[in-house]
Amino acid sequence: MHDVNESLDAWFVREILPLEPTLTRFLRRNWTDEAEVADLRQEAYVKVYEAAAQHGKPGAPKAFLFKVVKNILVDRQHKDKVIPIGSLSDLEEFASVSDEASPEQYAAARQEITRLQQALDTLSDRVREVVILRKVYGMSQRDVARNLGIRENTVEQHVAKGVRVLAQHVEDKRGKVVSQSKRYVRSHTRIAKQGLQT
Amino acid sequence: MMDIDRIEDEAAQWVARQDRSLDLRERISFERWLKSSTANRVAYLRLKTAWDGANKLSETKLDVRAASWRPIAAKVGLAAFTALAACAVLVFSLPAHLRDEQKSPAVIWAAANFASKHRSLALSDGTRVYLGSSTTLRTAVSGSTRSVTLERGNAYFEVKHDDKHPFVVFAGNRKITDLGTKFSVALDRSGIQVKVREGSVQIELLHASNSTPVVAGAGDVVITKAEETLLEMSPSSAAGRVSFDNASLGDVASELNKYNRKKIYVAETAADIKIGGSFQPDNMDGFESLLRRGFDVKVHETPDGIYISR
Repeated sequence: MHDVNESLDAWFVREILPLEPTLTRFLRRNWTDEAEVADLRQEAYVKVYEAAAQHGKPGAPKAFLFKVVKNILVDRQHKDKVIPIGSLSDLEEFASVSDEASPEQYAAARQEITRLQQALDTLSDRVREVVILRKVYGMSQRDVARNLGIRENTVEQHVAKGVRVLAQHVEDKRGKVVSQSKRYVRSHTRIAKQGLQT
Repeated sequence: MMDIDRIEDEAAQWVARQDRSLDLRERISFERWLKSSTANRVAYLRLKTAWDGANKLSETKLDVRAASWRPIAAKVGLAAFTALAACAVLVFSLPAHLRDEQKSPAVIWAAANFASKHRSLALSDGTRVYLGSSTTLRTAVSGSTRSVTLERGNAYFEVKHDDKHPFVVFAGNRKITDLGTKFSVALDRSGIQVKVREGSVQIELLHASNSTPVVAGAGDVVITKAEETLLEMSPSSAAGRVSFDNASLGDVASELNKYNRKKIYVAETAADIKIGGSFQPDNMDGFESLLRRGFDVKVHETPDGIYISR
């Protein structure tokens, strides 16, 4: 059981997670509630992971992921009574178009480092110090604590904060980080922004 | 709908704990949390991947500082200063835009009551420094230069190697250039003492065009007094030699006495004679003949010591 999970985990990390920038952009353009994007993405991940666990890994992960996402959005639309301006067929068209760099190209070394540095820029001073000492200089959490004169547990908390921001920064090439705001307005009729966009 | 915030929070906690390694109890707890829902697992994988992905930053060591970062050293306000008084390590730093790498030092480190000798500081290039008590060290370490001034006290350096940007310590009237090392520098009114643990350093006299730099290797101790350099090599080092340059006889004698049962006694009249030379520290005969040959002194040997006078 442990082995099955391990190989699934590896597959998930290799095939699905690199699609996050594409997936998130898609969700943002096609779902008005910004705060729900993370939820929707998580739901898609869970469904994909469980489907792979139960029925075997899909041959075309990207197509599969977007099929799953499409279904989720449709379900949500029904539940929330959102009136989309576009139609479902638009969603289908979009999902099959690859209009940006593939994960391999996106992960080109220089871009990646720039993206990481931009992410670091958004961190608070102390969290950034901790992340830099850990990641750039490879200092252990204990040494970071000694160097900065703070408790080890505090260093751990800063790492936890840093991790979340680093993960968030994956999705926005323009360098804007989305804060996970709990505020959102749920209403019966929500007007979609300019319809379904590519 | 899942409580994504809570799940991500928990996942982030687990990534952070993994980051410092889990004990057995935590490992069991983690496995249980992972198995309890796919949402947990997926959130964890996502955050862990992002954290591991940040390892790429290790390639940017000097780049990171070249960008317009806020200083890596902590800014300590007055309230924090009182709180830190017990271990008393104060760090002041200038904001990036005020720093002039070439001229003004960026960071001053001072340890007044040094609580623990295991306490080390990390300079922004990754070099680690251990401060002694009553020590003041001024550091200006940036992408293009790495220079440090020991104003008072002593410090032990473990230098992060970088061929293109030598690490330099100024102490008193000497400049110590790291050649890939671990070494300590102590400064007092009379001069400096450099002890090399690993690698080697070059020590030169400032503002003296005709002095020869001294290179000290692992196990070596170098003591200076004004313009004198007394290089002591530890008996266990490969060369096993002691050499000195423009050192006073009195000082040379005290150094040699550390290695020999038979002591050298130097009369006051002869103590200030400047000598230079090199030989094995337990080779008292060699020392004697060096003195007789080259210097205007009287050497009188008895079973318990060598007496030198003018």
